[in-house]
Amino acid sequence: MRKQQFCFSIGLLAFGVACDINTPTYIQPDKAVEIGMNDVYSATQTVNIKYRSPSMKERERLQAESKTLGFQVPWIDTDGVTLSIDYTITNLSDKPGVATVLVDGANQFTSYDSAAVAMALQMASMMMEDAEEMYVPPLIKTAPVEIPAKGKVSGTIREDDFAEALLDLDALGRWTGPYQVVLYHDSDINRMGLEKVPAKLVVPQLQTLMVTLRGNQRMRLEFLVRVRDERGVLAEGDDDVFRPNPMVFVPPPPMATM
Amino acid sequence: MLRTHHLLSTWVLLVGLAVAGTARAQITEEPPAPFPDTDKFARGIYADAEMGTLFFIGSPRKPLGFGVAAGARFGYDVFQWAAVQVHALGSTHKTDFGAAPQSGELLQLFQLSAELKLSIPIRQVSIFGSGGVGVGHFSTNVLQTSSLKVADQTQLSAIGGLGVDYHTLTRHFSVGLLGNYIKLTGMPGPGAVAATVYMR
Repeated sequence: MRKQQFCFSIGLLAFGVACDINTPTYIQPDKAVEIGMNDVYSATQTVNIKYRSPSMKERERLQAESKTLGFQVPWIDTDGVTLSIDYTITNLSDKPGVATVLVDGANQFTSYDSAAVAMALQMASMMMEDAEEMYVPPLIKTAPVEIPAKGKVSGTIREDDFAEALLDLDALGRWTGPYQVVLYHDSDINRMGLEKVPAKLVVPQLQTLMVTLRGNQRMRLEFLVRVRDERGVLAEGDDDVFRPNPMVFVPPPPMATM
Repeated sequence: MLRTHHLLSTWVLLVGLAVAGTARAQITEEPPAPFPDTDKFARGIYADAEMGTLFFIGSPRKPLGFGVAAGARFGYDVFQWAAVQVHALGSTHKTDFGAAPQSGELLQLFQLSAELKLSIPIRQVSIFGSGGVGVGHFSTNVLQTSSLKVADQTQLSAIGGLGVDYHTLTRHFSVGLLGNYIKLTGMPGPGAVAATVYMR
């Protein structure tokens, strides 16, 4: 009987330890995003996720895997780290408003900022005396949501939303997919734009997130980035931080219309 | 003839019963004590498992709610009235910060403490008090990002409580109720209460 008691106690402890496996780490931006002041209705806050540098053994493993697969295997990939964002938008005005949250970002190879791309395209088209307003899709965009006056709306950008965005970002950067085709199509439905992406792609994870609030009233966005680190790659304490230099995505210049 | 024989037998039986004296059993040993002998209860190394709830008092009460708590103790009875034990207690909570993004997250609190337990045995019931110090560890840093502004994921803790133990008279088994007050150094508010039932 005493043995049974002991096993029961050990079982409870094991359950407790099991609960601690794969628990997320939350990263909060330095401050909330606010819009609607000075007639600015879009604002961005950047969050950098600090990963540790790979050890010598891990570098050797990455090199071996890269050689086998025929492309550079990222140090931080979507199998090891998954992201989601929990957010709350507060309408600070006395009128109802509509808001949406946009996410761009950078992995270790490519940085994509839809606002910068839009600006670059607009400047290029102005030089061609064919200025037209261009919409450049972000990596992730939530559905516009109505928020009552002084009201709050909460939401989550889920891990599977990020999975699609991360594939798109890598396709744009390393596999030169046509950016509008890549960003407009859902890869689960249609693989258009992903023709050059290898079948056994190891998808790199984001290290920088640019979270934008866009709305039509005075509003505030508070958010938390939820990181599930299954391989222990988040930097802690005195860890040497991984600092890659991703290439900024530059769209091809618009073709002149005849 | 048969009827006469029957009647005669009945009369003989009745007369026999009437003249018979009161039968008395022979006493060969002392009668058993009406109360259990606590010396026969198992003593020495013990283990117990507990289940119940843990809730915070003060400002963390609403955000952390009532958590399901489970724990275990491993100890040694130094005397009949004193024991030392190691106590592991885990509780799981779902956060509620209203509309804030920290709401709806699962969070576990794990605690490990070294304790002294003093008991007053009264027949098969004993009333006891226990107390000690240890560490508490939150499984995530969500509280550090919240309005509670918790200092750290791992904190020192002090624990103390009162309980009642009921021995089942099967030598090794007892059950009981225990209420513990827990103070984590980095948590706002006066502390937490863990109320559990246990089997030893």
